[in-house]
Amino acid sequence: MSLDTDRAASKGYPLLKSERLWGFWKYSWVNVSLAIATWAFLQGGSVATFVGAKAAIASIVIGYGISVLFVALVPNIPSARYGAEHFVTLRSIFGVKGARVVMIVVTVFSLAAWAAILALMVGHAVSNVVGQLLGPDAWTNSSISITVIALLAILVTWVLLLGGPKVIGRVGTILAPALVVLTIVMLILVFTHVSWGELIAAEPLEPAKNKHLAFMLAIELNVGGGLAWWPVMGNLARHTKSVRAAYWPNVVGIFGASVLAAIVGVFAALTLGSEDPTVWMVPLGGAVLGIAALAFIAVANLTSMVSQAYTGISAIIGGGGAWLRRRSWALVSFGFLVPVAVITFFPDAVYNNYGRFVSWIAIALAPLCAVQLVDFFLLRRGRLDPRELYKSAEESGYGYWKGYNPVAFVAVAAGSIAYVSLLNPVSYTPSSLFIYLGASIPSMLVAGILYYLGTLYVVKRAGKGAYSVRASPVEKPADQPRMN
Amino acid sequence: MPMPSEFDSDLEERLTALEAKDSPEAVSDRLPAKDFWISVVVLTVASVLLLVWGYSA
Repeated sequence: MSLDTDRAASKGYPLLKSERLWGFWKYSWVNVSLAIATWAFLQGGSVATFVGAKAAIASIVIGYGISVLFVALVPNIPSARYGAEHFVTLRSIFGVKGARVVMIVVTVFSLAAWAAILALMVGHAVSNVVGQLLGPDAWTNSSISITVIALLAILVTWVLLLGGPKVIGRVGTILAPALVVLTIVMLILVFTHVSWGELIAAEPLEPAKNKHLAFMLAIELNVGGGLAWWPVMGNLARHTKSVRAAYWPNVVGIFGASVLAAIVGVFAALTLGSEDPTVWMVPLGGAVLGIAALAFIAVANLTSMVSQAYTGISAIIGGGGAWLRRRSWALVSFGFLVPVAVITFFPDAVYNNYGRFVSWIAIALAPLCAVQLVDFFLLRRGRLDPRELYKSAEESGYGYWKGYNPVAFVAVAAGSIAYVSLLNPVSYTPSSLFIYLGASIPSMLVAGILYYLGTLYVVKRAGKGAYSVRASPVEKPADQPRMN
Repeated sequence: MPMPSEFDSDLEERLTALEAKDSPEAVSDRLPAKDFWISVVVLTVASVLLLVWGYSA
């Protein structure tokens, strides 16, 4: 067989088992290097604005635990099982054309925004390093200088992206252990400044009168933080050698590393009174160690940006149709990074209001995740027909109505409305029910139930969606895959 | 049967390999249910314990 894996990966075609790159350990390192990136510190810093250390630990483990479990199931399992690009698998839900709409919205508003957050953090880190080296008088730590450095980081990301998935895996293998070491060193340094007793006695950065509401906001922030992995993981999981090798590294890597780094972030924020991770390093480690840590964070963020961008670009090419598939990887990479660059001009929209940004992300991703969960595991019993995924809207069993499945879009919209009615993302004002329900989980329930009923009573009755066709007729009996 | 316009030989070869009976590339891989339930039980127990410990603060 003379197949070109890199070309297939970039075009969203199914990757065959013999072409997959990552077993359990390698994918774990990829996950750890992604999760322990400084956005986890930023997450911890934001949690510390609502709650103290003990409640923060509980909210982080519970919030990430729930959401990472969902994400480990979808999109990881369908992408690992069929090797297909994440947004291509979504054609079975939203329709051949509808999945492109989802792809564009999610790619532009979520993946690009996350990459921009990382770029801005590189800007903050480098700016702080230069400020320490040259002195505050010689260097203006302004938003303009931060944006300029962020733009340079985006340029470097583009160059690194030209290396493809092998480069991402290689970089992850090298940087992940170093990032774990940095996080542990930060933890040790925190405890050279404060005792455990002082830490758990420390008030949140913005103490709330209603402590239960603050705890629920912290949980919601962490559920949203975990759901934010939904657009990313599918396109990485398709490179894994088995479904188990896709599932467990998420539970261990994404969950474990995110929780560890976020908790360290909470401790540092409570100790130093700031939610910005780039402000912590010099006070924690002194000038030399602090500068080294900041420089390292800048490099680590670049690798995370490459992973984020790779996922976005794979989605654009794989799900974007024939015209985009004819464009070069370099050109589409550049095109993806343009909105990332634009967002860096508006740091208040993302980096400086991280909690609200996560809320916006969850409004879209919580119902999307729920709909995929219900469709893949309940309605299709874990089976897709890979051939139908790649046919045109007119020919495919996943064509629905003119290429769109309105039931899926209505379900996602209803889930989003449920979220907004429980937690206003603009004012960040919770409703009276939020304190008992949160926002993401009810949003998922609304979207999932509506999608299930709509599919049962509308889609299936109309004979759409290829639900009556038993996919993969030659499928072998389920075996027990090794965790390789 | 005419090949749909977006199909090329590479994609066709991959889909055929996925669908081929007894092919090492055929879709067969599933997550064992026990893997899922182990993670659910561990998460639930950890959450309850942490809720009792952390929320009493």
